[in-house]
Amino acid sequence: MAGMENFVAQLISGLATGSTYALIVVGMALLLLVRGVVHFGFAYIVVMTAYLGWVVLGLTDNNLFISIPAFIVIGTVLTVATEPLFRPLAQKKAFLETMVLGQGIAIILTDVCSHFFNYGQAIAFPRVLTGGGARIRFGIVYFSLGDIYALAGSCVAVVVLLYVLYRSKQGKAIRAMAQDLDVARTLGIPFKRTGIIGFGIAGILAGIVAILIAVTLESASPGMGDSLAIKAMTLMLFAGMGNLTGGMICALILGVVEAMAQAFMPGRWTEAIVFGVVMVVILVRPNGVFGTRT
Amino acid sequence: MAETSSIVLAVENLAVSYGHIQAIKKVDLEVSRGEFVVLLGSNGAGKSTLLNAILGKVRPSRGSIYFLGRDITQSPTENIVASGISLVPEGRGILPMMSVLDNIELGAYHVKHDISGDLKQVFESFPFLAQRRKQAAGTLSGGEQQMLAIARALMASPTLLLLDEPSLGLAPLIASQVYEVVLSLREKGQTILLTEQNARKALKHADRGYVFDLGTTVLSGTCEELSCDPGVRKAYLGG
Repeated sequence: MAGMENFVAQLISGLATGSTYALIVVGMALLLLVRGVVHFGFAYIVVMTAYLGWVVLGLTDNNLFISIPAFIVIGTVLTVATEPLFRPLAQKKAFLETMVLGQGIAIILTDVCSHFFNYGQAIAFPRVLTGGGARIRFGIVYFSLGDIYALAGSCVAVVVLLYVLYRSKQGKAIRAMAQDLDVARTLGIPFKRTGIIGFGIAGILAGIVAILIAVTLESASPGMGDSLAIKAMTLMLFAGMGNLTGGMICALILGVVEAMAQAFMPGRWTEAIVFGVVMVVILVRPNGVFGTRT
Repeated sequence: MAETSSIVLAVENLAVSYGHIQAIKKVDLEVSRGEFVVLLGSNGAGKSTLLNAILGKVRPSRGSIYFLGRDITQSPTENIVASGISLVPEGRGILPMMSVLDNIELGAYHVKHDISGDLKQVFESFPFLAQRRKQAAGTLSGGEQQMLAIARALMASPTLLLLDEPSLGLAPLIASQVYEVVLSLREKGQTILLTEQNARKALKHADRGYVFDLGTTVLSGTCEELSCDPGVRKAYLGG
């Protein structure tokens, strides 16, 4: 049953990739909820974080105890730093302008990555972080250790995030703001502070995604933000803008479809097929498969 | 203003504009501790704008608002709410997709102490909310949503409770129930400022009233005085 083993291995690999997409989508959905902005630059912040994390790894002689928290801190600082840029647009409910702003951030970050790091070449992450392609055997199936880490890491991140959003006071404040900004203000929920907290949570996710990318893909390149951002935007539209659960499910499906297509389909038709399906679905259901929801 | 004064809220010479439209031209008003004051006026008279200005959601172009002797005219809404003013907004303003319990707990956003005692008290006053605490607030009926909005506002233990047309859009029987709740709060010493288009009930129960017209306080007095005023009788009590 060689086919079956391969299928399971690809499934895990696809879920691992899908879970990194899921975290990006959730991060962007969170920013959409808390500020009503489409932060197109979010995926680029993830890539920038991966680059800066790579620098920290180099400076600390690949010390993971310093570098892993550094990824999280860098992701958080970069994301929160964009909050004051979006705030005035959010106050004016200038939805389309937020996309332009996000695009601007995206282009600048891509240029910074290609001009200032590793002579514009792709960067490779050290074995100590990636596991060097180590595999573990489970029955007759071999899994990449990196994929297992990524999957476990995203699951923990999502569970913690949902707990914070649905159980904590600040999480409830974020959801209230997403649902009805005017009512949230009436209740005395502070616009500025709650927004910064939302950006901070999204930033922590950006740091985690940067680590997962380093672990699963073992490298990063300046153009990576483009592909991630387009997938994240498409997934958001496909699932329904701001729909957290829907976005996660769709992201996992996309990861698995990509992995399966890579393994079992000839040629490079994956993306054409995936985006073709997305187009048709958007035509039929403009609000996404799962609808817009908070 | 004197610190020992019993005046909870004082609005002086207030004007509020939305662009070129002057929603409030000149309003003076006072609410003392324990008082139940009603603002009468037709739709568009500026009642909601006044309540939003008190809460700092709209900025006045002129005049001052004092709460417990402190000038709050330019304070941010979150500070005003934290200092002890809660609003039950027009149209109830519940968060329909969040649970009843989430809605109630958000009313206590600025409360620092453990809220389990306040929660118990609110559930004792509104037992149906306890039964439905896990339900989405949007599934409640209009009257129940109004009670929820009041319960939510009470979670902050406000010094001043503002109610914007609490009986609007409710069946007469349900509206009476809402008034019973408001009256029971007044019995407990709650200071209340309430806006109303239908003057009959409000004038029967409130201590004092102000009549609004075109963004100006045109009349003020005790409810007996207002009930006898020919203009009020004509405009709000059906002759």
